[in-house]
Amino acid sequence: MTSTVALAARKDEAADRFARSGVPHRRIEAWHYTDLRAALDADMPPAAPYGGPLLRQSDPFAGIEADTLVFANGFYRPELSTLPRDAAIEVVALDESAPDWARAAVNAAPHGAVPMADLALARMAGGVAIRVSHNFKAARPIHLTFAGKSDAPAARHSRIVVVLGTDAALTLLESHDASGAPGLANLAFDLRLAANATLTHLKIAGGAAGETHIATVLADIHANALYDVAVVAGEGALARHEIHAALTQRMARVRLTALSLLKEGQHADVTAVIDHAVRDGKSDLAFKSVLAGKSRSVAQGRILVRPGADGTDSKQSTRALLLGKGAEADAKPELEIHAEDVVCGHGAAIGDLDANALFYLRARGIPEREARAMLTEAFLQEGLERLPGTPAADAMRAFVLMRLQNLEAA
Amino acid sequence: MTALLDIRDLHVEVGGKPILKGLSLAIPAGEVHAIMGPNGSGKSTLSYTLAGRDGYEVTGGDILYKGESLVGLAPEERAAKGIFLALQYPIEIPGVTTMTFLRTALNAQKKARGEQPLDAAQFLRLVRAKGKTLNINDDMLKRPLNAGFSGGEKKRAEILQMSLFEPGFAVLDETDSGLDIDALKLVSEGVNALRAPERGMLLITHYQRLLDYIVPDAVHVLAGGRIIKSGGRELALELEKSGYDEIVKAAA
Repeated sequence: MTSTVALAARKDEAADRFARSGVPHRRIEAWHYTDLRAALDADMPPAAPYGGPLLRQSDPFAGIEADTLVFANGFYRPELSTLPRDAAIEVVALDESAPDWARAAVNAAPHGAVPMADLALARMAGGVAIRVSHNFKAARPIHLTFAGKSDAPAARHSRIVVVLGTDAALTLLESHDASGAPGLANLAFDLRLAANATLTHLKIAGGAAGETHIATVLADIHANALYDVAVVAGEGALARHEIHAALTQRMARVRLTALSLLKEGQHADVTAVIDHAVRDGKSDLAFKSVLAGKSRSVAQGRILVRPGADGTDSKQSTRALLLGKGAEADAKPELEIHAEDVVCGHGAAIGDLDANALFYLRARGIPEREARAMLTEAFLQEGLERLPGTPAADAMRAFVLMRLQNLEAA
Repeated sequence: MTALLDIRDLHVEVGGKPILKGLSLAIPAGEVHAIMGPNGSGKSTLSYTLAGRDGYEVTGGDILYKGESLVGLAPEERAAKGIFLALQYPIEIPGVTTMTFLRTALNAQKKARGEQPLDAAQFLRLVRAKGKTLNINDDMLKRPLNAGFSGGEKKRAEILQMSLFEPGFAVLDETDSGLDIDALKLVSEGVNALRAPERGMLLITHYQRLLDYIVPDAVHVLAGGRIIKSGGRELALELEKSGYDEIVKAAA
């Protein structure tokens, strides 16, 4: 079937759904710990296009060899972007002129209630679609960089499509500029991974201080394909990164590493909803946070194992280090299992640094402040070790350790 | 002659509960003393109190090291002055390599004493040389501190620390626990090599087996938070034969 998909129709449907749901609030279970309605100004206008220059000095990925797709105020800026030279990678603007594969991938498989993804489509300022041909392993990452350039708080909605062919591989970097007026950055991703494909997604959720950052990932993962995503919290008052991954063919895999180092007043929510639709799927979720001041981290991992999805292997661990007196960590693992032969594990540990370890280091002559810093870094190291051994991942590790230093200096 | 470590009428409470109730003990430089005692007699409390752990509150008496009181000093300050406690159960710290830990600790002590820290190359030479006699290779040094180490490896790592830091006074808390004979021999050789005229040591042990390998200059029996009997090497053998009950009863 080659019927063309009108983006406008999808946008209208999304707008209808959003009109019924509205901005999510705490009485909706999936948003219980992150009351977006309370945090968001209901009258926030959409950001106007910004055509001026952009500086990327503060971008942690700025030094990485990559093809860069630039967004300003939610609009795609092709004239500032560098496109992959290889014919095996297509990058197009996501609009009515986009090829059918791009438009067809948008919200193709409904993933339950995703109001903010609906909003990102309904009010989309701009978007891109990326497709990697089968068998092509992209050596250069594609870097999505987002900047907010409004003088007053404004909403920036963007939609990203990534389609990987059979045996294809791609690394996607994502970063957000920390200058400009705070507002709402609202992104949604449609990911389609064909058999044996690997998508590595390294994200630094930044934004200006006071900014609200929402991202919703809708992923459809086929046989033996892997979506490996790492999310690191940056600046910004409130961030939620929400992944809906459907493991729709055998041995499909998803791996999430969330690292949130938060200072006074920050709130970071990482939510994953994994649908083990068929057998032998694998999900591995690791949530780690270091919380200073009155900050709050939320880790939600909902695992659905459908009837017949035997051989499912799912694990999740939540660990939070509460450094500040008013810090709060919420861990909500949810398992719904309808198959017999499965391995589903979860564990959570929330608290202060281990008193025995702290004494041990001090008894060896390491002053308390330094001992605490060593143990905090060691705590994070377990998360950082999950990242790949690439220059981009190194940049991410450096960013995390720099944030840790700033946290300790504060 | 003044003792290197002079514990005078020491009273210690843990969580409001008195554990040490007037413990007095003097250990001269160059000597190795052993403290033996039944479970719950206060052996571990004594070792943690000497190292300055939070929660071990000195409510009376004093601990003098080289004539200066240690009471009120932080654990890191005592370490810099030369107090070393080898733990019964060395703590596993995943995420910190043994090498990084050793260098950070050694240089922190040197810094506190106003000495020049070692650079990476100097440190590597030193730690390799010290590790050799304890059968500790680079591979083990690159692993996270104590994480996944066997019981023997953990104790060898403790003795390596002791030989690197060259403390003036070392407390070895149940160093023999969890060791087979070969590991015990290796660890004991390491400890014996560190016996020196200017250094004192206190071995805390439940069993006399360790004292076959590290022969003490004096043996003390701790019960009910006090030293109830002191003697020579033969006291340990006597304890082994007749058990703690008889000595405790006789002292009561």
